[in-house]
Amino acid sequence: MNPRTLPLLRIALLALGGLAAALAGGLLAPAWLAAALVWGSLPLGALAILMVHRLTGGRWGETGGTQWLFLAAIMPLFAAALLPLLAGMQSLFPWTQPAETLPQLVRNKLAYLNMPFFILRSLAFFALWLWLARAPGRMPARGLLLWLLALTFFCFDWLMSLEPEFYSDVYGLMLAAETTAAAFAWALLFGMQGMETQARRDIANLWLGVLLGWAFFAFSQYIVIWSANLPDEIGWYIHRSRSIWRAVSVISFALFFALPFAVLLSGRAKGSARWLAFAAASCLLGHTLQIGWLVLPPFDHSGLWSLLLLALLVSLFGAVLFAGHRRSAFVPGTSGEVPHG
Amino acid sequence: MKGAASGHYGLIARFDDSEALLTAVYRVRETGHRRLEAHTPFPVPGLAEATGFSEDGGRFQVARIALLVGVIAAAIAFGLQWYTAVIDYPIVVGGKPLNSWPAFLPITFKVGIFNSVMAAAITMLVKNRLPHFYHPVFNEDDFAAASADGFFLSVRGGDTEKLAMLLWNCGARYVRELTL
Repeated sequence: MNPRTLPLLRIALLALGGLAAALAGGLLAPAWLAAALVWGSLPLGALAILMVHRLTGGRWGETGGTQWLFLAAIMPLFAAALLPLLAGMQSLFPWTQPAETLPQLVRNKLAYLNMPFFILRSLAFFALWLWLARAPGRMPARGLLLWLLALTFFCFDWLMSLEPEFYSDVYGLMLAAETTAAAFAWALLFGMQGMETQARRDIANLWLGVLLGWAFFAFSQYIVIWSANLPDEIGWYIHRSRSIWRAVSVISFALFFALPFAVLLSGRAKGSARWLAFAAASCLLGHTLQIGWLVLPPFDHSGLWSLLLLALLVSLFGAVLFAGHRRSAFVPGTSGEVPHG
Repeated sequence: MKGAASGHYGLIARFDDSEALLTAVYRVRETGHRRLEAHTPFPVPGLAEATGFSEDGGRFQVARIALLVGVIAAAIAFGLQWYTAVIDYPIVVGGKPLNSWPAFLPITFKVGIFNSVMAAAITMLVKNRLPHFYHPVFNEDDFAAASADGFFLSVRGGDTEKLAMLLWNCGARYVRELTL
């Protein structure tokens, strides 16, 4: 097949899938949203890492750069998978229902949460990210600020407004840390062969820092809402502590944070390729569950089917992403390739 | 102690460059001397390993002690809060259960981190034998050159004559006796 048509084919496939999921509604739309976010976190995180490296320099960024450039390049696929869901907003976002049926609290938010403004914002976020991802590292300082602002409001829109009563300030920061941690884990898992030992240790240390940041954000959101125990906010956690979601919250925390943290505590494990790969794989698995845990509970109280659907869709996305990929194209065998950003 | 009685501490030799010092360190260690220290104006790659330093500090390495103390302190902090809130003075706050463990975590974390940092700093000082108010190398008149262009090797004790010979052979600019 012509290598030029392959990316277009991927975009078309994902866009059609997204449209089908949006129109089908039911469990498929939220599961598709979660799967797109699981994969979409990687280019978002990679973009931030590339911009940070542009500002600070350092060998870690040169040795991991190929992986993050590869991830940044799948940003258009993320857009293609997510934006068709706009066609099925009614099945995803409760605030699209007629205003008289909504609780007063949500009705007060309709100046922000309304369809035209929502669509406009989504297009603006993706325009910014696609523009940044085309040449990662352009205007890094302003880019990082815009990246964080856009990500915060993107999370308010696409994740938090799934349960429109809920509000949390730290939500965007939490997701910023999560996407960055996932992109670090990806680079460690798939870019390990090409890395010098010292640079790999630096990447592992940065990764540990980001993971600790995530734990801080996630816990501060929890402790504030748990202490206040207000009816509008606590419902969010109650939905997530019923049936299978309780287990998912513990398991995703253990896989995403606790296990990699324990591995990275030991200086010897941090220098060992096998332990790092193990921790990174655990983190990516935990990331998948974590996104599922953020998106799916309001749609599926028992949780089992939506989790299975999520696993299926995440693998499907992976297949679409890597079908026809030559292995050498995304796993650099040589070190020292300098990102052009 | 024989050395202390005679006022003799050891020898100090000055070298002109880091390579000469490094070879000297290897050759002195080969003859079985272990109590030697190198003093250089800048970090010389490989010198620490040559003098017998290793990253993992044996059973009492800093990281291990910091972790141990941190975990114990965190456990005590959590235990104290749990005991106070559940057994010693149970008060229901905000309708929450007595064992409201999420509220205990910030204190647990702070106490754990504080003690682990203190343990790391104190272990580091003790293992470096700091603070150290007096050292015989400062009896050497030219020692200030160690922070300009002098590469010094000081050896404690040992067979003075043989050692001096060896240091001269390694290309020392001079070899002098260090007194207490």
